[in-house]
Amino acid sequence: MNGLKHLINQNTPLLIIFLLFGIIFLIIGNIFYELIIQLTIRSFSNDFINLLPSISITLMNNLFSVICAILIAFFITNYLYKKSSANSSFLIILISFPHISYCIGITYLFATSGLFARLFAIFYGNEIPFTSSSGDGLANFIYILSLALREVPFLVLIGLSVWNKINSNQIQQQVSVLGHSELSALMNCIFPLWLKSMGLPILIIIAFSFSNYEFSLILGPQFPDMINVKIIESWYSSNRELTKLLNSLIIITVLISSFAILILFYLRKVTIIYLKTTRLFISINYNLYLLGKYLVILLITLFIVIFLITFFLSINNSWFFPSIIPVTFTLKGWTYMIDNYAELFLNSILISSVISISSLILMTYIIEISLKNNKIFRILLLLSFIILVMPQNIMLIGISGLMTRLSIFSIEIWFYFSLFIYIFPYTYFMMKQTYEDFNPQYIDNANVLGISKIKSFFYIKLPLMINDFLLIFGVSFSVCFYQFLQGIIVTKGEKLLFNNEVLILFSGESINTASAGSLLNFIPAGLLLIFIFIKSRYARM
Amino acid sequence: MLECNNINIQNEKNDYLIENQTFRILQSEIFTLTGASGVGKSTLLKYICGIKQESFTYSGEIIVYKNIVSHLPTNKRGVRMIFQNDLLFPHMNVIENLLFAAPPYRKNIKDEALSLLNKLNLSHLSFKNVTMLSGGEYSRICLARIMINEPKVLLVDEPFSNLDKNTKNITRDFFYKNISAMNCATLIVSHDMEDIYSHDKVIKL
Repeated sequence: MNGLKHLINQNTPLLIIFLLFGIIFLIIGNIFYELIIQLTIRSFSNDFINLLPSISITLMNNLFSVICAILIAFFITNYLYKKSSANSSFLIILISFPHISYCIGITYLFATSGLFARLFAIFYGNEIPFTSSSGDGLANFIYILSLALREVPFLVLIGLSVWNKINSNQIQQQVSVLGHSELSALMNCIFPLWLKSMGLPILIIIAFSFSNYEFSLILGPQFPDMINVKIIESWYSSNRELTKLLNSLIIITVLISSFAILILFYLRKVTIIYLKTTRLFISINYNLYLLGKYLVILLITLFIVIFLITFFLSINNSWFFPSIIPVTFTLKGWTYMIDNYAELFLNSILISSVISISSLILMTYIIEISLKNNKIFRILLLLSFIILVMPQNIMLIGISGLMTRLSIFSIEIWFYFSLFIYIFPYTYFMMKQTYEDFNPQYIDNANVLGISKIKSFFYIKLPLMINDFLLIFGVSFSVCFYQFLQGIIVTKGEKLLFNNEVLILFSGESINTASAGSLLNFIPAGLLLIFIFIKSRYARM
Repeated sequence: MLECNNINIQNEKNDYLIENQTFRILQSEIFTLTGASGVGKSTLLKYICGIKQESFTYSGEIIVYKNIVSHLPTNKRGVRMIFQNDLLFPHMNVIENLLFAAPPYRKNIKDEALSLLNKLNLSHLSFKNVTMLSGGEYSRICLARIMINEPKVLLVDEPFSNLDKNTKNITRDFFYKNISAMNCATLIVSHDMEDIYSHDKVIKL
C-alpha cells in the first residue's frame, strides 16, 4: 500500500518526463556526435555541390507545397466556420486516410492509362494531352499539389479552433461597423491573426514535408531524386560511397528544413505587416466564402475519387484503356491479401492499439497528477515540440544509432519506443485541450462532498470525458497504424507494420493486390473513427 | 440624421421584444436609449447597424440621411457603432488601429491620426500594443478609432459598463465632450440614469 502511495507521488510524472527527455537528448546527441566524427574525414562542401539539383528541388517543392496548404486551409476554414461545426467532422476521416494509399491513388489518376487519360480519351481519342506523372515538370506540380491537399485537413482542423479563439465573428462585426468590406475583415484582420496563431501546425507540416518518404518516392520527381528519398537509399545501400553520403544528407536536411522554416516565418511576418497596413481590400466586395466552398468540394471529391479508383482497381479483372469503369470483376487481390498478410495486419492493429492505450493511460496519469503544475505542462510542450519539429527520418536514424551504440534492449523494444514517441505528442495536445475544456467545478463539487480524487476521476471525469478519450485513442491509433519509417530505418525491415507492406506491394505485386492492400490499410482506422463519430453524435443527441 | 420607423423585433416564440418603435435623431443630437436588462436595447442597436441574429425576426424601416438602408449590409449603411465589449484589433498597435479605421477615400492620414491622439491627450499610447491598455484607455482608443472614421450616425452600446466608478466618470466626460464635437446623430444605450446626457432626449423601452 505504501509502495502504491509512493508511486502516485507528485514527482513521478516529472521523473517519467525527464526519462523521456533524457532519451531524446541522447538520440539527438548521438546524431551530432556521428556527424562530427564523419565530417572530419569527409568533405561536406563537395557533397553539397554534387547534390545541389536535389537540394533545390526538395526545398522549392516543399516550400511551395506548405504555402499552398496554408492558403487552401485558410479559405476552407473560413467556409467551414460559417457553416455549422458538425460539417467539419469529415476532416477526421480525411486525416485518417493513409498517406501511402493516398499517394498510390494519385498515381492512378495520372498514370498513362489512369483516370485522367481515360477521361481525356473520350474527347481527344488517341491524341490525349500529356497526363503522366513521369515528366519532371508535371511531377513537381503533382507533388506540390498532392502534398498540400494532404496537409489541408490537418491544418483546417486546428485552424477551426484557432478561428474560434481569435473572436473572428466579433472582428467581422467590428470591421463592418467601421464601414469596411467583409473581405477587409478577412484579409486585414482575421488572416494575420490566424496565421500568427498557426505557428506550431505550420512547423509540423514543414518537418513532415522534409522527412516524408512516400510522397517523395511515389509522386516526387526522379531526375534528380528528392533528398528524402536519397537518405533512405543511402541508409539501405551496400555501396560504401552512398553510405558515407548519409551524414552529409542528414546535415543537408537539417539545413534546408531550417532554411525553409526561416523563409516561411519571415514570409509570414512580412505578410502580416503588409496585410495589417494595406488598404487594398477595404472597399472590395468579393466573396471568398464561395472559393472555400469550391475547395472543400474539390478536396472531398479528390479523396472519394482516389478511394473509388483504388477500389475498382482492387476488384477489376479486365479494365482496358480507355473504358471508364472495369468490365469484369474478381476478388483475387483481396483473397491474396487475406491469405498472406492477415497476420501482419492483425499484428499491426494489436501493436497500434497497445501503444495508443499506453500513451493515453500514461498521459492521463501525468496530467492528473500535475494538474496545477504549469512547469510540467511547459516541459511536455517542449518535448512534444522537439519530437514533431525534428525531421522524422533523422530522429529515427538517431534512434537506430543509439540502439547500436547502447545495445541494451532488443530491436523490438526500440521499434515500439520509436512508435511511441510519435504518438506521445498527439496524445498530449489532444489531452491538454480536453482537460482545458472540462469544467473543473464538477470536481470541486465532488471534493466538497468528501469524494476522493481517484473516485471522482472514475465516477465523474471519465464518464464526462469518455467521448474525448475515445477520439484521442482513435487519432493515436491511426497515427501509429500509419507509421512507416520505423520499419525501414530502426529495424531495417526486421519488424514491419502493414503500412510498410503496402508500399512493397505497390512496387512488386499485381495492381489488384496492391490496391486491395492500399484499401485494407484504411479500414481499421477509418472504421474506428467513424464509430467514434457516430457514438459521440448519438451521445450529444 | 437617423430615422427608425415602425421597428418590430420578435423572438422565436413570436413574442415582441421591440414593438412599433419610431424615432428620429437629427444631426448633432445625442439620444439615450434606456430600459431594463433584456428588453432588447442592444438587439435594436445591432439591427439598426445591420447585425441580425438568426433567432429574431425583424421588420421596419431604417433611414439614414434620407436613404432607406434597411436592406443594405452593415458596411454600406453609413451607421457606425461602438459595442459594449468593443474590440481593438489585437495584431495592430494603437495608431495602426486608427489608420485602419479611417474611411477608404482618405489618404496620408497618419499625421491626422497622431494629431487626433494628441488632441485627446492619448498621444503617449500611439505605438502601444492594444493588449497592454487599461480599461479606461481601451475605451478611449475605441472612441478615437470611431472619430477618425468620421461617422454621420453613431450608435454606442453601454460603453462604460465594464469600468470601475472612478474610471467611468472620467471616461464618460471624455465621451460626451468628444461625441458632441463630432456633430453626428448619436444614440447611446444605457441602463444607468447617471449616464444620460440630456434628459429631454431619452427613448425608453
